[in-house]
Amino acid sequence: MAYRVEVDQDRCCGSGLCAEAIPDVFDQDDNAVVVLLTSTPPDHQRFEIENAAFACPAGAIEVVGEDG
Amino acid sequence: MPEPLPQLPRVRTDPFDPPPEYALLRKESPISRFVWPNGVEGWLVTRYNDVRALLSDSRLSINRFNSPPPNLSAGRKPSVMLPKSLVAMDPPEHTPWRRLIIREMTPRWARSMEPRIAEITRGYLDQIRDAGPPTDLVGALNFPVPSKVICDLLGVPDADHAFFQEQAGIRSEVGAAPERVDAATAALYSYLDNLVTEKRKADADDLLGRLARAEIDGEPAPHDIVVGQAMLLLIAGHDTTANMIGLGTASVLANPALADELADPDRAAALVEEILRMQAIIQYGIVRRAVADIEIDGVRIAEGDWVVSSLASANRDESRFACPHSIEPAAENAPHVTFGYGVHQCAGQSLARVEVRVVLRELFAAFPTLRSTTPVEELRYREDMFVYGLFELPVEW
Repeated sequence: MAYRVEVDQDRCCGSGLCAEAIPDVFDQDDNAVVVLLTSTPPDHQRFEIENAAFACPAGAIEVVGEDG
Repeated sequence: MPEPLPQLPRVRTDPFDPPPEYALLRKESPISRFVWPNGVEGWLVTRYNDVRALLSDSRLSINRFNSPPPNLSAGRKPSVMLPKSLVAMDPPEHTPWRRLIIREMTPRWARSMEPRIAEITRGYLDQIRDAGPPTDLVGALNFPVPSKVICDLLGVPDADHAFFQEQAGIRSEVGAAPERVDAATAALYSYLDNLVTEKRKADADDLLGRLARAEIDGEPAPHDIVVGQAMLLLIAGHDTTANMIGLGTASVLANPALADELADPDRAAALVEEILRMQAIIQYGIVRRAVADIEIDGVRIAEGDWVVSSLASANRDESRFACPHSIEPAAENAPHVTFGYGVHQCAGQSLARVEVRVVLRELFAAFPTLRSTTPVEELRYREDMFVYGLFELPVEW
């Protein structure tokens, strides 16, 4: 099912856990703040992205479903 | 006459598990009242979901700078108040400082440190080998490695490493007289004060140099807070990493098949994550103070109330982990909270993970027949200290 990923750079506290886990979707800028490399990753990555969203200490990652 | 409130659970029946009271609390009274030894009361939070929710709730403040903390562990007096740093700042004050520091300690940076950490580790392992068995790994390996890594992190010149490690060692020394600890703290503060000044003048291209020349909200970062942050990095990265290495080593010694996981980086990383989950070394939890009323799980936390989130209990929550009380690297468990949660989650966690993984790998590779001279369950554990771990880890090979 289609989904998109959103990040809140103001909430991000720079842990880098998302970038470490899924480097083709998340990166960190020079201030360690999250950079979203794609807002529409393939379906097979949804589960690991939801895991990253759960692990994010700042709650800065959101996975939004097609109907959301 | 009402019954006195219980104190924080303290006594362990197994050194590798938290005190057994936590299991009952999770089940019957997940957010309960307790009292510290000095009479101050608070809330104890024991379930995984509640711990995460509260540690990411902005109504809980970390800023106790103006009010001395209650006793954090059973046997210790509060020490001299340390200079202001991340652990005494709430957002929005916290946010720019956190960014300046954590950009220096990303997972990518931590991975780049791996060869250097391996080199440092092998140096100490060579000394251990040359001295011959038995050896106490706590003094011979577990403290020296993180101590040296912090010297590198802070850009301490080689000539000053011995002084630095000696003073840091006194601060970590169990049973050291408070005056000696305070003197070592003052000596380190004075040293870092000078170091920060020198690095600013020299335009040093390292963490302290960048921190010293940074701007906060358009103004030069205040010098004394830069020094305070440097002290935090020093303090936060010593006892914690050293004791994690010790507990990891003891865990493998207690279950030698686990050593097979260490050679492969991914399997070693999974093993380290489980060791971290099982051993939440900030054993008396994370302390915060409510700055507004909070309703959670049927409980009303009032503004001004102290709240302790038990990381060790959350990590063993039966509703979250299928096999909570054993090391299960293949279980793909939910993320543990050993490093905390929320915006104050340990800034050094990526470095800590690499240090623990590399030291364990190098240690068991160098000494495949490593064994403790006493059964690990009979060793002495730091039950009354802020950071849990082993007092000694005597081994032979």
